[in-house]
Amino acid sequence: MVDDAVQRFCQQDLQLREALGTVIFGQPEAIDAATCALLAGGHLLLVGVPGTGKTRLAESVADSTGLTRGRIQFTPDLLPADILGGETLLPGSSGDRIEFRPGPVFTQLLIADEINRGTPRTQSALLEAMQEYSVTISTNRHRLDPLFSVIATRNPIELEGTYPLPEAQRDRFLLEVPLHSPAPDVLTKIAAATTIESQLTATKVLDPKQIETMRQTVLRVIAADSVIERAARWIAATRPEDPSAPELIRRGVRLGAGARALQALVLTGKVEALRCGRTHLADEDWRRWRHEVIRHRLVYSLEGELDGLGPQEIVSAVDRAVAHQG
Amino acid sequence: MPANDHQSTPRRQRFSPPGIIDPRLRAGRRRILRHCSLRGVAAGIAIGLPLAALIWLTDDDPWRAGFTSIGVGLLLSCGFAIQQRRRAVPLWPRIWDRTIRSQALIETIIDRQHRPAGDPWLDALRARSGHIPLPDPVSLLRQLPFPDPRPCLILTATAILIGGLLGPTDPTIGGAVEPNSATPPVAQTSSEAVSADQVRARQQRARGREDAALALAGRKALEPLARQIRGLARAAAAPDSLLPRDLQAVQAALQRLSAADPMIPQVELWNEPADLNRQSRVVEGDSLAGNGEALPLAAEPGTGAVTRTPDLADGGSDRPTDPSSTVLNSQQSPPSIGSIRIEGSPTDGPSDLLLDTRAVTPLGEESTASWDRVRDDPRLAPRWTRVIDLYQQWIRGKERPGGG
Repeated sequence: MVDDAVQRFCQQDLQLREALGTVIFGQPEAIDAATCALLAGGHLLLVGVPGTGKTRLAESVADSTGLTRGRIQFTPDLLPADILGGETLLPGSSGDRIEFRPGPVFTQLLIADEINRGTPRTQSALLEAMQEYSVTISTNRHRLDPLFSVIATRNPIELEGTYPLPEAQRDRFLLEVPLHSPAPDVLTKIAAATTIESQLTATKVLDPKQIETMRQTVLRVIAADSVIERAARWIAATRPEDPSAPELIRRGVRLGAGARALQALVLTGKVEALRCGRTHLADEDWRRWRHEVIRHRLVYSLEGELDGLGPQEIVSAVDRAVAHQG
Repeated sequence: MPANDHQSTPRRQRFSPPGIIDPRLRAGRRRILRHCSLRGVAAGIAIGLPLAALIWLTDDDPWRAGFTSIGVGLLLSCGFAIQQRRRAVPLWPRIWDRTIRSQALIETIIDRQHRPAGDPWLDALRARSGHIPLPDPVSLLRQLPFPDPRPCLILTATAILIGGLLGPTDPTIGGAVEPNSATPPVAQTSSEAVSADQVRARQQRARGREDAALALAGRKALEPLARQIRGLARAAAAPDSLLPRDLQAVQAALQRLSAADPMIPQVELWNEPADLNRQSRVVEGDSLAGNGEALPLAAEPGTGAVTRTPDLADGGSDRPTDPSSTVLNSQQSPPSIGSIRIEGSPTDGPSDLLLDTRAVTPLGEESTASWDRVRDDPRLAPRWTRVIDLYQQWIRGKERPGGG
């Protein structure tokens, strides 16, 4: 039974990635990360310059999984109520009544396009939804769909009219996946596939029920305490105040990764374990997406900013420090 | 905890890890820990071998050197084995995983073995433990190789080289002698730093001993002393008497020993009794001690022999012999003759026979044999043969109690 579940997971996951691969060219890592975040039940932040396929990837995920989608184009004048919804007064024959009109957040897959164009106030409207899977309007708490996920996109270059995401908001994203500019051969493919009459759309290979089953399968992967402990030590080493932190972290990082980062490591690791056909978590699994897990969670110090520290240097330093500890 | 084989005896239960239920996992654990212990032993040997070689080559006492070397080796091996085993105790599941190239499988099984049954995922994981291959020695060796022997061998060779240069030339010297003579106490030696001066003094002493032993070579009576000097035998008692040549050899040996050698007093013991004998044997004057008269010797054996006092001829009579009148006591020492005047014969005039008193040996077999050897020498002139006969006759006369 267990083997069947694992096999089924692997098969469906492969189908999903292949389906996305037919519409997203030259971004296999981003596809793997996006599906990993989706199956782990987390939110995904896609970062890239315009034209790298961020929004298309988010749309394609919704297309291929059959999840109900809601889309918000973040603009500076967007208000929290535009995302969450609100209570409106409805006139009726028996008298006026107040009714809650849900916003686009009440969906299974929310695409938050160019999230950094929204004001921090608006961005913060998603905090509760992303963490608690619920929205509180006035005194009423409204539950979101259990499959609720956010795929947000962000342009890292454009600064005018953008607002950096608050740390709390960033921490709620399971992974931040960079999308790189495509190579010339990929560009050729993109041009050839998108400049014809027929629209390029991802095939629906899964349904929401299957997504739910796959998420449950992920949660059943067994993780030994010792393996989680090693992941926790790795996360702790990203904090400058931690004794195990290397010198680079102490000098260049102001705020390290937290508990959500560890959860992200374990959850994405479980997905990777299943992808490898295993029912238990291994070190290689949680290490697979560690760059994407800490990329958006670290706050660099001024010295770190000046030195141009990035996730690559941080991960290398932490790896060395943790390996040295044994 | 379910019953299992490690609970069969209290002793085994005590040494079995309490957390591991599956016998296969226990077997694998034992194998890994044993390998780690052996690895520690190898590391201990790798470090201890050069040390042991250095100790062996720089210590005078071979027994102590051997004991210390083996002790150091054993201590290091045991220490490293325990250390490696201790380090492996929390890591053995990961070692096993590496060995069989599984990703944290053993680690997870061990982690979840005490969880209650019922979860199909957990049960499936546990069921796999029965099919896990045990870590084989080759894989263990690949994952946890023993220390490279080359540095150890290089260090050992270096230690041998250094020890050969700095250490005593003969490690057995002083090893078998009495503890209060040549060899300092163990604590003293062990506390001594191997400074250059000490090493040099030790080398000089050893060289002096070897030279002294060479000076005694070929002399049968001095063989015990030579062996003692070489440290091959314990201190031997000096004999009552020595031949003059032996005495010369002893004195030569004494001169060759280094000044501060603790062996000198023992060699002196061989010199002192010999000196006494020599004083009693060596003829001081030209004639016998007594009344000052020269002892006339007849040309014919037996005819000219006289006794110094008539009393000496009365041996065996009822009248007691006055011992005061007897100058030489044959029981104590033989008569010493420096020269014997031989009355002239018709052919050749009177002449003096000068006896080499150094060749005079104490009474006994050796003495008689020596004189016989000289007498039977074909190169000896007949008259000297007669002289020897006279002398021997005279000696025999003296040997008889109270008689001449």
